[in-house]
Amino acid sequence: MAKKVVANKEKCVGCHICELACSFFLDGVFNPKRARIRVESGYNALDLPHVCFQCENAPCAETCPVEAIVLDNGVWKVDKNKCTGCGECVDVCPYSAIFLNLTGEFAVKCELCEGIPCKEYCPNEALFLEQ
Amino acid sequence: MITVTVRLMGNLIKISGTSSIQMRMEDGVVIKDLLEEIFRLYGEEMRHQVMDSSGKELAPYYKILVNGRNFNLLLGFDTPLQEGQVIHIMPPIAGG
Amino acid sequence: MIGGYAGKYLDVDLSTGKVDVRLLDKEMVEKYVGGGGFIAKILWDQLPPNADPLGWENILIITTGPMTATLAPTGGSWYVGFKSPATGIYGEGRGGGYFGPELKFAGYDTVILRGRSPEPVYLYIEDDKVEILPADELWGKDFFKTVDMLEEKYKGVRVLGIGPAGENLVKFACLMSDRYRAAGRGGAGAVMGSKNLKAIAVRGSKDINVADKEGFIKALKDANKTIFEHPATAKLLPDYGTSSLVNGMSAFGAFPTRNHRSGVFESAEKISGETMAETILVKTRGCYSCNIKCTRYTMVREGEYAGVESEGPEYETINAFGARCGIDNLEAIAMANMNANRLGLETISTGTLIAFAMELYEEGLLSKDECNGLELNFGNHQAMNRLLEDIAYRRGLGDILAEGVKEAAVKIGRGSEKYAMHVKGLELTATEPRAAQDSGLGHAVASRGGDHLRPWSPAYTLFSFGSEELGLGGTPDPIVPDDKARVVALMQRVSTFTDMNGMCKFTVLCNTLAPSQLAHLYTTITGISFTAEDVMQSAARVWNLQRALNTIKFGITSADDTLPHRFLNETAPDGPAKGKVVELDKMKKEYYSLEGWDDNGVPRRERILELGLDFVAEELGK
Repeated sequence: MAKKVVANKEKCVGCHICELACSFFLDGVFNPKRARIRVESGYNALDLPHVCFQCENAPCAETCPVEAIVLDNGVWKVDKNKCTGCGECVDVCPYSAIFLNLTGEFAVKCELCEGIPCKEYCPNEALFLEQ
Repeated sequence: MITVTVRLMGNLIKISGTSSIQMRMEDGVVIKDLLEEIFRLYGEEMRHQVMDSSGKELAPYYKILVNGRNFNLLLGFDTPLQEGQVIHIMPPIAGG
Repeated sequence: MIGGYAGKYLDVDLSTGKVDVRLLDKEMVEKYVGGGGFIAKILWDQLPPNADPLGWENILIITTGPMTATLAPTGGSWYVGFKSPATGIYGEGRGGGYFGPELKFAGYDTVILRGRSPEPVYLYIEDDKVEILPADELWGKDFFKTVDMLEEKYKGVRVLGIGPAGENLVKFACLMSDRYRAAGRGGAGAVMGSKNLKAIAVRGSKDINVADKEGFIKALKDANKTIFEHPATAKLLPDYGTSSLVNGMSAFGAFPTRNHRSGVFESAEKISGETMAETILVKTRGCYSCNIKCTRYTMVREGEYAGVESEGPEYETINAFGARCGIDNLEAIAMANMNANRLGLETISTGTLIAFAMELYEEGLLSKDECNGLELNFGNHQAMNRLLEDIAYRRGLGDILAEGVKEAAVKIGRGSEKYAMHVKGLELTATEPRAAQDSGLGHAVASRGGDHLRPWSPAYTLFSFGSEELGLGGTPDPIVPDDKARVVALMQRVSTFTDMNGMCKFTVLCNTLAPSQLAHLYTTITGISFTAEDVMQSAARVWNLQRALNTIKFGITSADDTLPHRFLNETAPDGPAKGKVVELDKMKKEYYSLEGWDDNGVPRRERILELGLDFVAEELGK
């Protein structure tokens, strides 16, 4: 089974710290629109983290017209050089967990970075690593 | 004999299953005696919550009030109890 | 590079529709930090002192701080500043939720709103695109519906705005954001309504930079460790939210009951955080970037209020709609809370007004006919909920109460002034000052009037949360005036600073984070070197600038730094403070001397110069 970050939506408090941690540790700035994990929140009691499930049969990879999404050691990664930013992967992801980057040039998703800062800084243990 | 009311708050309610206890005590008892009686009634878990590891002082930020006055401003554990008093045992509280 | 700030602000003239984008200047940042600091400086420089608070001349400032939209603990704050229609003096408030960070991601630290639009409008901001658009369809809608409609139109938008109370110029209407977050005691919502501005909707995609990344991670880990170890922020606030205070405050005799007649509510337990956790609590939430998570999302599941859902009620709201109105029904309080959020009414003042009317009714000063046909006895929760709506829509008695308690007492006459619980026109809060003398002083001298948050000193004087760095330790005696001036002045500094830097006061309310930790976070994010002394000094500068505004420009004197008749003349009837009044004069004298204010409460010239406020000194003695 692949490694992945899994979210417990019951424990998510909607603080968006995971997004801030993701953009800060991977991009060096605070910007949730760069984050590879995104939380849907604000309406009633809804707090729903979206993060890549590292599907066995990944619709994103299957749909990609240029085969830019490739499996590397159990983790789906985007080859930025190949990716055209067409956004088809974004439309088909059942977890809404792949995004276009700020300029719309290529897709970004959780590729299981070192340290997993989203999980480390989550204040309510809503994120965990599943092997 | 005297009767005092002990009020518990927060997690102490979970341990004791109640927020208010009427206690009949001998004349001349002090807070220390009352606490021992409560620990006898509700067990060691209650003691470990309320007292620090030495067992001699309150756990950090815990407070005991005698009719709304912090017992540190009275005679602490040796504060004598009187008929009709309300004793609060209070875990740390916050907010605003 | 200066980190933390977006670096730009918007200057919007609603009369002409002109929008300017300006660069934040370095002196502003270094001397005033953000939040209340920016607000005080902008009001000092730009507001005509005699401006009508509900006229076009008033300025409404929405701002953030350098920690807003960062990982700094609780870095989710936005602030609002204005001249208050309730008090005629400095007005300021702080809100959480998501709006503040989104504004910064759009590239702006601050929005200054001037003038008055000829027609109802809303402001739409998406990065560099800023538009003033007609709000015909939004006007008249409650705040929840307003957010729904704007979210429908712009996916992922964050919304700040007003409800009908703000449109109807209720003097204690607040600003709401993100459905349930409120700010702006003293009528920010009425000011926004007077400008014909319904809402601000914002979406942003820009970066916020950090000056010293490695240093920031160190400062962050240190601050987080303290937050996760301190009982207030690690245990009580996450477990029970602010409502954890209900039982404790009542035990200390400091839980205002029946319009502040007493500080002991016999049914406190029924409306406590412990009861809430077992009954209406659905889940715990947190504002943006918050690792304390005190928000309660609640839903009433059965009975006459079944189906009511909202965030809260918070401690202050529980006291205002609960004990102060003699009401021990948590579901009814949840209903009032939800309706206040929906209608854009600030809950503390609204509860104070209803409790005031209830006491007048019980004292025979208002008849049933004059009370919109309601039997307005303490404890009547149906009547409370009816009157709340009547206030928002200014119906009958509601129209009088909508003026705020100071003005309402003038309109009603009949000696009702004695029952009007306010300082300088701002309604009082959920601490009984006879049982916490420091709180009496804090309310009397605060820059926005009857304010409990600068500071919330009972954290130390009742709950013994001390601070090594501030020199606060041991067990203080809350019912004597001794040493309270020092306590209030010190704690005021720290809470004023968190009202400048973009964090939430709950990081310092119980002395969780120390000034040195705030300084470390600020230094590493901004790159501007700050020590613990700089934190205290910059807060003192801002506090004194707010005071200078109030005294020099708005005419406040020592006589205004007072408390309602009840606290100075009627002894507490029960509880640990039984037989006590607030010994205000002694504390006030000491406080003035510590602050460097003269006998009339005006900051002395040497104090002003020492704080680098030379432009204020020029106005002294004019």
